[in-house]
Amino acid sequence: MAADLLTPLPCSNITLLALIALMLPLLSFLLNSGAVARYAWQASIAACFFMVLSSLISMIILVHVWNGTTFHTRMTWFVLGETGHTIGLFIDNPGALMIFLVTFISLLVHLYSTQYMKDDPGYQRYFAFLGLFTFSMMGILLADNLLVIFVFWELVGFSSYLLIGHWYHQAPAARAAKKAFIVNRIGDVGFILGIAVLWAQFRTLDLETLKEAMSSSSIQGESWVTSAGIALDTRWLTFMGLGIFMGAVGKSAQFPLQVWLPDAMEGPTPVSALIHAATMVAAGVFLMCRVVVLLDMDALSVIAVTGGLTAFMGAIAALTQHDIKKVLAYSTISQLGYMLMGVGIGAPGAALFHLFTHAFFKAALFLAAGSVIYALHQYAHRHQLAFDAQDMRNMGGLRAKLPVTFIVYLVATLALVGVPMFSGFLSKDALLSASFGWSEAMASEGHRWTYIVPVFAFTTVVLTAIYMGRQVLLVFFGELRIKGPADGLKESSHMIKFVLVVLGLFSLGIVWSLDPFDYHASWFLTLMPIPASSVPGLEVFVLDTARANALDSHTVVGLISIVLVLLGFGFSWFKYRPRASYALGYQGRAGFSFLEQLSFKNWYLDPLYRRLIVNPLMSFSRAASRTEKAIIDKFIDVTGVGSVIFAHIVGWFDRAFVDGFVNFSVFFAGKVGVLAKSFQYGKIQNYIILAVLSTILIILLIL
Amino acid sequence: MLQHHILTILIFLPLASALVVALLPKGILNLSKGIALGVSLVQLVLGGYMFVRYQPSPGVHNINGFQFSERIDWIRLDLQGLGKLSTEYFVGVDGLSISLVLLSIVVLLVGVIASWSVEDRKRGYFSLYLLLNASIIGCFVALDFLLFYLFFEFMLLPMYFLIGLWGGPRREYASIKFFLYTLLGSIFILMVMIGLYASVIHPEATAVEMGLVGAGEFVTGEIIAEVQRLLQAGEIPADQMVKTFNLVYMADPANLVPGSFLDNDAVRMVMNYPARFLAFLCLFVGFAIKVPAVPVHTWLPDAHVEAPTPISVILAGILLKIGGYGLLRTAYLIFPDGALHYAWWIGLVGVISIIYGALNALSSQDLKRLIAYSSISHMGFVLLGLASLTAEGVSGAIYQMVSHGLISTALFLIAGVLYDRTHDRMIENYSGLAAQMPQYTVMVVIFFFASMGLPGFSGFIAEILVLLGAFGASTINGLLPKWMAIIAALGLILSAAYYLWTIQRMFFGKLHVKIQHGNNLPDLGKREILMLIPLAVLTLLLGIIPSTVLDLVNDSVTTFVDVILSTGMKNLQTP
Repeated sequence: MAADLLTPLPCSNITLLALIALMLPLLSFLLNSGAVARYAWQASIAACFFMVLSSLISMIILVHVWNGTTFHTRMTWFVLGETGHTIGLFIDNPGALMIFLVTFISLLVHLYSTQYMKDDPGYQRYFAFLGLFTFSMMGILLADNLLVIFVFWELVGFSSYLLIGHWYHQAPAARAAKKAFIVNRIGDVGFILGIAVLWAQFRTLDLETLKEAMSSSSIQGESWVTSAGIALDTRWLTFMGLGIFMGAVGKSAQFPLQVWLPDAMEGPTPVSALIHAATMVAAGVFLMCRVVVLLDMDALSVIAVTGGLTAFMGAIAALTQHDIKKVLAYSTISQLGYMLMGVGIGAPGAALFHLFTHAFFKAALFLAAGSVIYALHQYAHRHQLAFDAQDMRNMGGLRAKLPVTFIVYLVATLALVGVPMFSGFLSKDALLSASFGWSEAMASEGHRWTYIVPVFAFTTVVLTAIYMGRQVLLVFFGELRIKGPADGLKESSHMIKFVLVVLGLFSLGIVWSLDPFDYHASWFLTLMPIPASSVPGLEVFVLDTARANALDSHTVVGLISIVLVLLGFGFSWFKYRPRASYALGYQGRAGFSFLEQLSFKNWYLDPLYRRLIVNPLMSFSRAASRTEKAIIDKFIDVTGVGSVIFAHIVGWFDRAFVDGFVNFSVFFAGKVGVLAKSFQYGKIQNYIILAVLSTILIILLIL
Repeated sequence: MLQHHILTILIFLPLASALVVALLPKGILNLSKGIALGVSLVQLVLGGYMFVRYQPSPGVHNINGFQFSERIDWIRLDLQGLGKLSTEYFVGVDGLSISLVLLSIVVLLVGVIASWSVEDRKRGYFSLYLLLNASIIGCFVALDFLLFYLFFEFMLLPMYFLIGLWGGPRREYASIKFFLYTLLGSIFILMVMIGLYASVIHPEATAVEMGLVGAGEFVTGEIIAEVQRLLQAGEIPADQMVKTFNLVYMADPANLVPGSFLDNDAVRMVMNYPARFLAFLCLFVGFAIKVPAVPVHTWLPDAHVEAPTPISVILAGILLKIGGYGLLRTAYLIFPDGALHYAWWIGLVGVISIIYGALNALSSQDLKRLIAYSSISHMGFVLLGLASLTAEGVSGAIYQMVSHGLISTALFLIAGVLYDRTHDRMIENYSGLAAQMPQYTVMVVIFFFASMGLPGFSGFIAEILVLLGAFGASTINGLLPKWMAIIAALGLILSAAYYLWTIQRMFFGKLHVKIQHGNNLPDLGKREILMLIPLAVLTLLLGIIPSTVLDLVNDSVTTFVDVILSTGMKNLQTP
């Protein structure tokens, strides 16, 4: 199949540069894990330096692909039968933007961590794993082949496991790491099966070749037939799309697999910023943008609805959390839902745009939250106080103590909520318009249920404003709820402030578009190619109509979203303002209504899964172990004992009745006697005799 | 010179050394370790030579296609009415066996190093170990069924004693269970071997017997074809037929005596069942016990739990692979019709082993038992890959054998490290070991993740190939339904679950050891690192550059799949 397309492609300067940018973090991993403990600090500085190089190289690459050129280098990895598996680097505009994003944010997090983690006994290990993570993440972005993407995909999960479990001696961190990996594995199995369908159909996993092959396949009746004549039922086309999507559901924490991300907050905060907000969790979105041209209408619709639903569910769960990082975690789930919804509704460009703006403002939020936590930790340490430094019930009034952190937090919040002039407004507006346009187009085809997607999307706008308003009010306004001395609560080092300010600047709308009210003017979206999907049976015109609708409605949608944001903020101020009863009684707050519980416990998904999946699985497992002992081994033991008893009976029969064969009888009984004894003493010779005799007996019986 | 005798040296060097060790005078018994190590090192060098000199080529069903081959007539007997018996000393390797021979050499070397602390009855231990070494290598290179069977049976004996004399508290029960199980398997194999012997002729020797060529003259391909034509036409009198145990001749349907017990054409029925299918089943059961496949697997957990560490290593690292290899070399190649007919069932057994083994691992309380069940689960992939009869599936099956050989070796060493220190392997008795034994924990994390198929390690390549093959089989040859691959993939989640849960319970959390003398937990020693690091490097190498093994295997696998599919279809179509 398309063998000529799979020829090796030579290396170009750009792909060579990309390879170097990819290898630098790996080098950092090796250096940091191999360095002598005494040189841990120097090794971490080297790691930062490698990341500087890597981001510079990414910038060079970005400049070269800006005009739409793509670079592709490929070689044969291994040969199986007559088909070769290839491995290679592929760089286009989205890919180049992504590697820049990852290396740049990774650099900032490296810098931040040199301060944040400086007293941690696992400092060296931490930097090693950051390197491993960055390497794996870059691999996903640069790989040209689904199998290779999958390799890095799982490595990312592995480094995430290591970093969540950084404080492994704490039971919750150990549990969270395990949970994250297993839940991701569930998604990965779907990914593998999606790959398996593509392999069975096209005999290649090279993405560029797959695109060609997909467009030359066709739907004939109920079957999906390739140009080489291989046919599968059309359901497998949808299955394939949903399988790959399942991978994204796991990694990007979408319903129903979003349960791991809140727990992952047990990891160090810079890790939460890099991995569990800005980059790794966005890998699912990037992957779906890569493969969107392989998805059929049913798969796309499922993705749209799942994304919309997750956006809504995450926002609801964020409303009532007390842990400052948990609010942000649920918010991340919600925003990732938006992005995947974007993929499903045929607006992958907008999805990537939101991925970018979100990466910056969410990293800013997490690192600012880290700055708050760090400051409170230092404060607690200085005055010998014991309280949970992540619990917002212990915060309040930090605006005056941590001014830089506060301003960055505020800017990033406004970006997240989608206030005009800030980055999030642009990308969210693009997504909201697209969702509206899509459901219009789908409804005109008779799918009126698709309005559920924009309903979710717009509701989430209000909810986002409410929970972020709540958080800012409860953390930074009012009075500090922890009783303690007034001094000693202050901003952390300059390095931390520097990183925060950089991220804050990227949250401003002006960086992304000269006209802060119109996302069409954004340079980012002009770089995004509109995917020319040619999946057989795909109703392309619906997606085209959807795009046209979005273009028409975007002004109205923008206005509506501004109104919704104001509504949300208004509600927030009304309920959570410093002198309101909620804020006054917040420190000791415990009692919950059912609805609050539903939100606080994330829709009771964890207990639900425990009851529906984990407990039955453990019962199955115990049943298997009982089967082992009570049935299989019992059978073996009984057979063994039975044959001894049988031999005794035969021996007795011989002794008592077979007088004519005295000699034989003596001989045989003697054997049986030894045999019986042997079972008590375990002599090997006798077992051999037993076995031989049994064999002869069996043969005699058969004959 | 070396080219043609290298395999013989590989087999007889340890055999002769076993004798030497057995005869060592009391004063210099310490030498026994050194001899065992020396033998393994020489084998390593020879293995390296073979790896470099091996030319990828099919082999499989082409009698001249084997490399490093040595072929000598061994026993010729005139059995009068039953024709003439011929067995050969015929050894050689092709893509199906070379990687397993190399694997055995590596694992046997690791086993010697792991045995370094054996002080109890050293002479007996190391002479048995060397005997085991010889029979393992012999098994992988033998191309004559009788020779193969001899080596196969010869492995049982040292294994039985090594578990029964140097094992744990319940060693007697375990070793007898092991012995009876495998003996049962051997009986099945023996029955088929005898049946086959009665049904297959040696075309070259028959030509000589018929007087078509003179004794000692070269027998050309045309003459062989002529003999085969005459045979199929029924024109060779029974007393001129020379029967053979040669595995390669057995795989060629043209050598089957018409009307014989296992002939294609005269579908002989035994208890209303075609004899050839029955014969395939017997071989399958015989080797499935070795693999081991559910439900004939229960000897394995007991044997592992009671066996001393180095013997567990050999057992998991190599002996299980002989089951898989036996299926490839005998059952599949000789009875391709059976392989096609039972593909669905073999796939099912594979899938059940994957899931059932993983479920049992999940509820295991004993670290070594957990690893033993994970072996059952991972060996299920071998059966699934074989059943698919696709290039990916069969390569994946062989790759899985090599990969599992390396990884399970390391895993049992890891279990041994803990057992050496505390004589306790219960998972619940430990927590937070990472704080006390950081290097050990690093190794555990590496090999647990390698075993659960993390990309970058060899297990991933093996499992993904098997899954691709099993899934693709439905469009390529229609042998397996798609749901089998889907269920098998769920095994990946389960293996993540039991390994990660174990890491969480034993290594993470607060340090706490609930056993007496539990405070004495030094980190890895030099010898332990010396064993684990090379294994880690090899698993990584095979995970990143799969062509290291696949290039050796590929031609043979392609031929294997073609031959099985074409011959099998043809055999099935003849009434």
